[in-house]
Amino acid sequence: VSRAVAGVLAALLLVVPLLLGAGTGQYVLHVLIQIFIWSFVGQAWSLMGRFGLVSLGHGAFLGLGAYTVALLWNFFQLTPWIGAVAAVVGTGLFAAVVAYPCSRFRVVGHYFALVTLAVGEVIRLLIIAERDWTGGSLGLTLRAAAADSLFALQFADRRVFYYGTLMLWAAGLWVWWRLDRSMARAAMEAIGEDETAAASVGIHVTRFKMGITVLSAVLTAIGGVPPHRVRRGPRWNVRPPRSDGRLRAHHRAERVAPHRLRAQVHRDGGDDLRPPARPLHHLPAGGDLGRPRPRPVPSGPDRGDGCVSGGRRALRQLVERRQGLVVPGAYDAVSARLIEQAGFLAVYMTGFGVSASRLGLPDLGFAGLAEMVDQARNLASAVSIPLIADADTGYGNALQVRRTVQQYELAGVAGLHVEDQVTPKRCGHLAGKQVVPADEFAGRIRAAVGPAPTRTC
Amino acid sequence: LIIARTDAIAVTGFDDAIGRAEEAARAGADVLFVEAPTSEAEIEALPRRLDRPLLFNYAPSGRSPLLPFARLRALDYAIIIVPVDLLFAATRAMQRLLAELRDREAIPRDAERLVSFQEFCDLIGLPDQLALGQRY
Repeated sequence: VSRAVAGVLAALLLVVPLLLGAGTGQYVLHVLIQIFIWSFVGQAWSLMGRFGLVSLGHGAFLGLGAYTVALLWNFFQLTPWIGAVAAVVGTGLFAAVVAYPCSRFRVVGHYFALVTLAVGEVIRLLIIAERDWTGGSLGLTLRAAAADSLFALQFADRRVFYYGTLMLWAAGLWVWWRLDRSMARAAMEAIGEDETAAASVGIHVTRFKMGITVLSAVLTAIGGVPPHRVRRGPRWNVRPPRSDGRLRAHHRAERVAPHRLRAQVHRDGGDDLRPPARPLHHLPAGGDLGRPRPRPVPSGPDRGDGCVSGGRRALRQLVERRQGLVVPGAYDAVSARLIEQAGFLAVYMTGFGVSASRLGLPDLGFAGLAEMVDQARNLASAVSIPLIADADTGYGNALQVRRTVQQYELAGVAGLHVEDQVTPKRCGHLAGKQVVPADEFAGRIRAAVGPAPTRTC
Repeated sequence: LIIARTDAIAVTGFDDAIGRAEEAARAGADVLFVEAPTSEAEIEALPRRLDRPLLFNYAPSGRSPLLPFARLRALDYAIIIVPVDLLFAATRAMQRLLAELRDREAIPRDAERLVSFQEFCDLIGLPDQLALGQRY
């Protein structure tokens, strides 16, 4: 009977993607893919746990796998197929280097767990320290292939990944089954129960322990490889592994601040976590940014009053990290979209560029409040990441600045800058600038920071 | 999020600009943006002397030396805006294409230089809008 049930279940898993349609079906598919991947990783991890080898550093192995593949692809356009081989070899060697002294010198039980915990932490800190090429705690985004490609392992159709990860999971089960029926299992169980006794009956303890550690690490690394479904303009972030080895599946909405990092490769556009019928804005990584935001959001200033609008809170978090967030400047809605698509976490609206592209005029204060707000609204509406906008002098003094801030916020702007130049202003890198007295500038800032004239929430 | 920008370096000098930035911080600005520091020493001094997240304007051929991003991060700059490069890149691409169109009366069709119609439609969300239209 159990055989029949298993057969039915397997058949069901095979036909599920054919039954699921667009919309919610795609979401279900996404969840199933995640389940397969994380089940596989869980299996790989528990290969060790079942023999009493508690590893808290598997986040490092998963991370090594994921980062190896992603970095080789991003920097060298090396296909993930070769990347996976590199990841397996690299992680295997790394695991052997960690496991050998532990096995040889009987670092067991809690002490082994501590070693692996430290290993995970070392990898995590390295990734963060080398942020110029690893993307640090913000993770990195895979370069998108021009089209569906087996070479790049990127496909628009989610079903490809469904079957791919299903096969991966089945392969994981098969490894488990093989191990379960092998001599190694008996040896490992003996070692798990009493290492000294096992050694005295002739079991090569070091060899078996290293073997199982390397196997488990390598399989975990493979769990970091899986294929990425690509919507044009993807958002696959590889993030630093958690140090505590907890390999939890989760979706991006629950992701939090960078000090709680998870080993993770987004195999999937997080955009699909929302009902697909809504306009698909791509979700950026990290913090509140992980949550979809309705927009444009005509709401009042979010200065600690509980109203969330325009991504202000998200931007504040990004700023407070002081990580030198690179924010490219857009001058129209398409360039703003491209910036988001490339994986940047915020967009800047340049006054120089708006003046040039909208008016064909230099940055000498020709574009006024109404035109700048209009442009800002278009940019903010076109993206789902926070927009920082150039508000020049605030288009007047304190009184006008108040309204400028209000209008920008209503347009969906998350942050804006107001300067101390006299009106009409000029580009900050041109000669012949003039500034207003310091107290007048302070007045502008006080007005900008103070409550806006009206609140809508 | 209010970013206070002072342009004072070029007018009244570096120390006055610092003073203005400090005053802006006291007035409640969330981020300080001291525009166009003229030397590496000034770029280094700003984070030391100002106690707020800082914005750096990465404007090409402006008055500021363009230090590597890693260096700016090490100096604790919070935001690095790269304001005009996209516009400049687009401008050059358009110039080239227009010259070709004028001189050769033909447009290259390689993906290196032009996105496809399909790709562009995807970028501006045509499939999503069409799917949405189906719903109503």
